[in-house]
Amino acid sequence: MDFEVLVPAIAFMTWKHLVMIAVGLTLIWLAIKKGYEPTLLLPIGFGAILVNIPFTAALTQTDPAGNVVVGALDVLRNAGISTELFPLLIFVAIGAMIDFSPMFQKPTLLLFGAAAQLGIFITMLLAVAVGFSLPEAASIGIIGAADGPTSIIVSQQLAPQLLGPITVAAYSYMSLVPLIQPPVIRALTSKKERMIRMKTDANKKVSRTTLILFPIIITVLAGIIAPSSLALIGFLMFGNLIRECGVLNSLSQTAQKELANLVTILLGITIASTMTANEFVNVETLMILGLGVFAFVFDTAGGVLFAKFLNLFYKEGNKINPMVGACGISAFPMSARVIHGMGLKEDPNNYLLMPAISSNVGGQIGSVIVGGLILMLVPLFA
Amino acid sequence: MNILENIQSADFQKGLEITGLGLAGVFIFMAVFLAIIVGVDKLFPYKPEKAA
Repeated sequence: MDFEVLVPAIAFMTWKHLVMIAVGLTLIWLAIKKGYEPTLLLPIGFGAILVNIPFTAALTQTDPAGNVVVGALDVLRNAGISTELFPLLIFVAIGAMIDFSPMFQKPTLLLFGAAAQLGIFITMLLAVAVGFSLPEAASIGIIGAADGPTSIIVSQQLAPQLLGPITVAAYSYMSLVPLIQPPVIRALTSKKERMIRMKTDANKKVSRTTLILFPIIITVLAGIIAPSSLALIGFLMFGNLIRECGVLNSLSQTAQKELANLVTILLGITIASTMTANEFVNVETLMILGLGVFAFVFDTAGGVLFAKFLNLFYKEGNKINPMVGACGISAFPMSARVIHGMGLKEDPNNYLLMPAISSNVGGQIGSVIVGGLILMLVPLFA
Repeated sequence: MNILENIQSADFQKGLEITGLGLAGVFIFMAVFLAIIVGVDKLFPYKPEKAA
């Protein structure tokens, strides 16, 4: 009997499959050894191995008799990613986890959630410049949202063929925020600027009515201005309303724990179904991974430079520490912790955690808004 | 891959327009959110609950 018939997986294994299995092992190593976004990188890494063994039953195959045998990962992909159900359910969970009250302590910091989206648009332009189509470029730019579910939804709608590399880049770079942001911040700020102390009212309390009204008003407003952002914002705010209403504590806990965990398991391994050797091992993937770094770098620069711009108008004593501007990305609370740590390094008595958290929460809202705006604008122009 | 040609392409021009509109849009959104946060916080200030 032929070798190809006896062990088809070995006979049809190509160098591309081996590369993808190595990628999968690397992601698992990063998740376990380095602790980089393990909840997602581990399922994605394992899934990458699973789908890159030739004739894997995890993906749809045609048997020797010509019958189509549907693979479980294709079922999950059609049910959860193509319909955007998984990322939206993750948004419910994230909404239930977010405490918006730090934003009320210094609401102007919310604007950094807009400024630090600069990288998305710069990267989109760079991607067009290197030859990607506009919808593809916009999907690559959204890596800079530092927000996995938003990246998945945007790329699923605008460039589903790039979903795999974009998702891997988004989650990998989110976990690399402690490595990406500090050098950019140091390059754009002086030591004196990094030592600026900020006044915040850490003891300010927010009424329950305010916290309940906030998600409802934001949802209605987002729906009126940009209906295309409503699924993203609406599910996020729904989760938050469950948290803040005070009468659904059990549901809130379920959303934060069981729902988040279950969907994360399915999301990670389903994303991996797009990481097949033929779709993933190409120059485009390398370019997307490279452009993703630019997105994070320019996001950070956008936030820092906007803070420096605002400082032109603030009096001494009220100035903003420009490092806080860099927290306007969605990587929460990682970015805030990084900036707090950098602040303490410059001045052991400078506690930037609260303003950094406020800015970081703004980044979570900003990234979702930008996702909605891109979904609205790109089809109008493309 | 010809970067210069791509920069002069219609897609790049459209990208610039999307960049302008997108950045303006997100700043407007956030400014409106900011106004809402300040407004709602003023309308419904925190009041410590009275002990029963």
